[in-house]
Amino acid sequence: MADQRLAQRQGELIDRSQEVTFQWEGRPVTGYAGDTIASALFASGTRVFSRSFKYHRPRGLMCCSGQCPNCLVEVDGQPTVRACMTPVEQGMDVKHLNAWPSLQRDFLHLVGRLTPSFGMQVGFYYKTFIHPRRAWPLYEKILRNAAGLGKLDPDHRRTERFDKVHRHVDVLVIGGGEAGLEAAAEAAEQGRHVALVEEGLALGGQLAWGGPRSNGRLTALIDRVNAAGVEILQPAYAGGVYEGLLVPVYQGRTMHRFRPAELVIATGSIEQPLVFGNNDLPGVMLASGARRLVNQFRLMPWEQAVVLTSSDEGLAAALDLADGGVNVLAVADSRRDADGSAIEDAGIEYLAGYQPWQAKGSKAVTGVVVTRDGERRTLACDLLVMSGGSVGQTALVSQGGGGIRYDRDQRRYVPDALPEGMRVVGAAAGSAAAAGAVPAQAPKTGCKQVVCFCEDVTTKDIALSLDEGFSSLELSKRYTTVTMGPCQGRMCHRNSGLVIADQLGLDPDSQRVGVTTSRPPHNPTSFSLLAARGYEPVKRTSTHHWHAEHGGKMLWAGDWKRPYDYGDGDSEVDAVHESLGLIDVSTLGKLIVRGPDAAAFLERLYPNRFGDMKLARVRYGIVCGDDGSIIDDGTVARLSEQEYYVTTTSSGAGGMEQWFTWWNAVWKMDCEIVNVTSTIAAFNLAGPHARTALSTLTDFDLSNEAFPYLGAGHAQIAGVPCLVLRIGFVGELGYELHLPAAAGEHLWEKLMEAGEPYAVKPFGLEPQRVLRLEKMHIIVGQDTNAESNPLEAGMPWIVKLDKESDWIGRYAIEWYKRRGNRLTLVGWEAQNGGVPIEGTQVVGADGQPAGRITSSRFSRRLGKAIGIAWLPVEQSEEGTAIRISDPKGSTIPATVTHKAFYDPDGERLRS
Amino acid sequence: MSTVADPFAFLSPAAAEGAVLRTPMERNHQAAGAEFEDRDGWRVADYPSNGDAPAWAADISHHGKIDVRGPHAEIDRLSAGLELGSASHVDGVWTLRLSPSHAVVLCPFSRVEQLRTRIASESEAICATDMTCGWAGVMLGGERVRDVFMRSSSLDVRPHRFPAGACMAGSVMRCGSIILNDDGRFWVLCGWEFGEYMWDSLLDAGAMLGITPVSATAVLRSEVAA
Repeated sequence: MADQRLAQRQGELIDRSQEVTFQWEGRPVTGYAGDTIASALFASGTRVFSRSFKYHRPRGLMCCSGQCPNCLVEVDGQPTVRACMTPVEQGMDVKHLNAWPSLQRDFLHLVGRLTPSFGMQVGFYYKTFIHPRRAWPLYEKILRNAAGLGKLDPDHRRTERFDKVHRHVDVLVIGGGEAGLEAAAEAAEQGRHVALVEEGLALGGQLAWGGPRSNGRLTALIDRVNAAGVEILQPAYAGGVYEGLLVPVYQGRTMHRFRPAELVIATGSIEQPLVFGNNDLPGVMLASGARRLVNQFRLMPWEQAVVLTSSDEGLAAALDLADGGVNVLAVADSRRDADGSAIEDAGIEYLAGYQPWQAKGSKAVTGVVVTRDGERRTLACDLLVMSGGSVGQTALVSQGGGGIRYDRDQRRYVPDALPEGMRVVGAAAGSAAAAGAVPAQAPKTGCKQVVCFCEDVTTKDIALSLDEGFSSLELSKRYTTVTMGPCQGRMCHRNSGLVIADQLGLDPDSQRVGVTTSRPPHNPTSFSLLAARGYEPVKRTSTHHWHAEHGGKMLWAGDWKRPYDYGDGDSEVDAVHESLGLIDVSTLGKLIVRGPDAAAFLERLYPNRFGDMKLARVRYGIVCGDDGSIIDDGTVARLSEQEYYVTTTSSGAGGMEQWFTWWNAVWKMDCEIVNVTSTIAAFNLAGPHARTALSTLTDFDLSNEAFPYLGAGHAQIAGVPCLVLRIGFVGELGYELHLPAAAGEHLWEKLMEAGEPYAVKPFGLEPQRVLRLEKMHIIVGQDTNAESNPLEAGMPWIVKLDKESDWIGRYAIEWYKRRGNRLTLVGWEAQNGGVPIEGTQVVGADGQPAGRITSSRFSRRLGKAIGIAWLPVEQSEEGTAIRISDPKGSTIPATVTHKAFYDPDGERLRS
Repeated sequence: MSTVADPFAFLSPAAAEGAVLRTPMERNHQAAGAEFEDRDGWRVADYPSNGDAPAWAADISHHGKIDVRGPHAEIDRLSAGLELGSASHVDGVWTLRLSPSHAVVLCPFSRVEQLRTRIASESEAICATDMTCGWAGVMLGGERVRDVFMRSSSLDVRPHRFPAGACMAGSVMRCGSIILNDDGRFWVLCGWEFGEYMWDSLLDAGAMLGITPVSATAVLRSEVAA
C-alpha cells in the first residue's frame, strides 16, 4: 500500500502510523486513519466505485467532495453513503449499490446498450413499456428491481439510537472554508455564540486541498477560530434551510435543529464538469477532486494526465497537480484568449481554443480527443482532469427565502435580496475571479455525453425532451429527471441550462434559461435521522392503569387513551340497564366561567338561556358558530350567582376554551375563563342501583326529592370533594362525579367496592355508544357536521330566538327558520335484523340517495338495529318507511321515529 | 344543594379527607422500584439517588399550584410588580408572572388552600384556582440539564436567555408547559393527563446523558427544608 502513496507532506489528512482495515465487496482493504472510504479504496487500486443509475455505466471518483453520485456505496447495510466523505472505520462492511451480479461484471450494463430504437430514451416508461398494457405489472416489477440506489432491508429493526437536539446560537455558519472560518472567528471575537458546520473531513476548503502553499494561512485561521471559542460540528452537513432560518444539521446519528439569530452561508462554490463524449468514464475527474486525492490523501496512481478546462481554475489545477507529482501532459483550454504562459513555463503543453470531444476507453480512460476548428488531436492519458469553472452553492440561500439573480460579469447566479438574519459570504456570494467561461457545447460524438451523473441524463435526452414540447428547464427537469438525483443539481444544473440554451438558441449568458427550485434535503439523508427520537403525546386519565389492568381494551380517542370495552360490551350495557355501571368520562372538556358578567357571557355564547338558571342546577347546551352550525355541546352547571361550570365534548375541550376566551376578549366582559379539564377527573355511575350504591360513600342526600334530575351539588364522597351532576347521557339514573384528578383512582376503587353488591361493571366507550343511541342522544361531529343547525338537528326547543341579548349564530338560525328545514335528524329502527354501516346512504323511492346514516348499532335490549339519520323533510315523518343501503347490494327496510328508543319519557332518568 | 363556601372546592385535593392522592407518574415509579412515602395524603416516590447524577428528574406533581388571573393592576400588585417572564421565590413560595393578567403560584401542598384563599380575598376581580391537579410537574437538574432540555424542547434555555428566576410558557415534548428556572434546575409543569408521557419522554431524552430519577424530597427546596 505504501507504494500507492506519495511522500508525506504537510496538509495531508492521513495518519500513516495507524492502519484501518475494513471490508470492500467481501475482501479486506487496509487504509490509514484519516482516509475516507474512497481514498482508501483508491489507494488499494479500486477504480470503479459504482454503476450509473440507468445505463449501469462504470463510474469512478469524480469530485471527492460529496457532490457527485459516483462513489455512493452501502456501508453496514445503510445505502447511499458517500464514500468520499465517510471516514474509514475498523471493520466496516462496504458494498457496491446497484450492479448485478457484481460491480465489475454488471449484466444490467446491457441496458445501456439498448438503443433508442428499442426505446431506452428519455420517457421510456411511458413509451416503450406501455405496450401491451397487460404486461405493465411485469414491466413494473422488473423496472422497480432494476431502478434505485441500493436496497433497504424490510426486516431491519433499528437498534441504534438517533437523536434530535434543539440548538440556539447567535450565529450559525454553514461551511468551514476560508470565508466561513473568517466569518465565524469575527463573530465569536465579538462575544457571540457561534457554531460552524463543516461537511468535509478538513476545515479550510480550498486552503486545505489546494496544496501546501496555503497551509500557513489555514493554520492561522483555525487557531483564531479555536481561540474565539467557535463550536465546530464536523463532519456534519446542513440538510436545508426552512422558514425562520431553521436549519437541520446532521452529524453522525444526531439531528441538530438550529435556530440561529444570524445564519451565515459560506458554502463556497462547486466546480462543474464539462460535457463531452464518455465524460463519465472512470479516470475522468474534476480538477478539485484530483487535487484532493493528491494533496490530502497523497495519492498519485496515474501515469499521465490531461487537463481540460474552460476556466483559470483548470490552469491552477494543472500547476498544482504537476507540483504534487502528477505527470501533466497537456492542458486543453476551450478559451482562445486565456493566458497559458504559466502552463508552458511549467513544461506543459498548452492547447488554446481546444475543447474536449470524446474520452477514449471502455472501462477506464485511455486517452482523449480534443478539437479545434474541426481539427482533432488524440492525447493518450489515464487521467482526464476537467474544470468547467464553478458555480456558487446558493441552494440553501434559496431554501431560506433568499433570491438569486444571474450576474453577467460573473457568468453565474448570485444571491440577491436575502431574508433578515441571513448573510452569504465567500464564493457562494459570487466571485468573478472564480467564474469560468461558459463552455461551448461539445459536438455530437455518437457516444453518451452525460449531463446529469445522478440520473444518467444525456444531452440527447434533454434535446429530445425539448423536441417533445417540454420547452423549459423546469419542464425538461420533470420529464428527464435532470437535477433530481442525489446531487440535487449541483453537478448538472448549470450544464443542463447550457444544453437547453444551445438547443433553443438562447443566449447562455442570460437569465432566460432560468433555474430550478431548490428543495431540502440538500444531501442524501437517512429516514432514521429524519425521524430521530419520535415522541407522541398521549393523554391518560387518572384511572388509565386501572382500566388497562382490568381488561380495558385501550384505544386512541382523539389525543386520549380510553377503554373501548372490558371484553364484553353487551354485558356492560346490560349492567347499566339492570343494575349498575361505571364509566370514566374524565376526558370531557371542563371550563370555569366566573365573574359578574358570567351569566351574560353564556347568554351570548349559547342559543339557549343560562341567565335564568337556578343555583345548583345543570342544563344541556349546544354551541353554534356564526353560521348557525352546531360546533359543540355539553352541560352548564350554575354553582353561584357568578360562577358556572361548563363541560364540553372531549375533542372540543381545547377549541371551546379558545372560543370562549376569544369572545370574552372581543366582548370585553367581566369574567374569567379557566380550563380545568386536566384538573378534574369525572366518573358516571349509572343504573337503577346508582343511588343506593353511592349513598354508602356519602352523607349527601341523594334522594329524588332532595336531589332531583338535573341537580348539581357538592358532596364529600369517600373522602373526596366532588361536584355531583345528576344527568344521564346513557339513559338510566345516573350521577356524574367531578373530583380532583389526584384522587381519581382512589374514588374509582371505592365506587367499584360500593357497587360490588350490585355486580357493578365498568363500561367502556362502545357500550356507552349503544346506551346513548337507545336514548337518541347525538354525538356532535358524528351525528352532525359543519352544516348541521339546531333546527334541522331536531332541537328547536333549545333555540331561544326571543332572548333579549344577541348570541352567536342567531342571524343564521333566524334565516334557517324563515327558509324552513330541508333535512331533519331522525331516529330509525330496522325491521329485518340487518345493521347498516355508519355513513351509508338512505335510498329514496327512485333508487337515488336520499339521506345518510350517522349512527347505527344493534341494541340487544331492544332486539333490533337502531340509529340516527339525516333525511329530507318530506321523508322524515314519524313512521315513514325508508330503505337503507347495504354493502351486499340489497337494502335494509327501516322506519323513521322521532322518539327515544328506550325510556322515551325519561322515567328511568328521573326515578 | 349543599352549602359550601367555595363552589369550586371540588377542584382541590386539599379538601380530601383520608383519600389517597396519586401523581400521574405513580406506575412509572413503581416500575422503577421506587418506595413511596405519605406526604400530606400524597404517595410521593422515594428514590435512593440524591441528585448527584449528571442529569436527574424528580416528580414534583404533588407540589401546590395556584392559577391566578385578573386585571393587570391587580396581578401587578399581587406579584409585587414582577416583570413578565420572571419569577420570585419568597418563603418557599414561587410566584411566576406569565402574562400581564396571568400568574402562577407554586407552594408546598400544605399551604395551597390558605394561600389560595388569601389571594382570592385580595380582590373580587382576582380568580384564583387550585391547579395542583391541573399540572403534573417534573423537576430537571444536574450539570447536563440543558442537554436534556435541548432534546425535549425548542425553547431557548441558554443561561443568558433564560437565567435563574426566569419563567415562560412553551412546548416541552410537544405539550404545552410552564417552565421555571430554579437556580439552574428546571421545573416543567404540563397537563396532568400528560404527566406519565412527560416523565417517560424526559427520561428517554436524557437516557444517553445518564439521567436518573430522584426523590422530590431530595431536590424541592421547601421539602428539603422540611
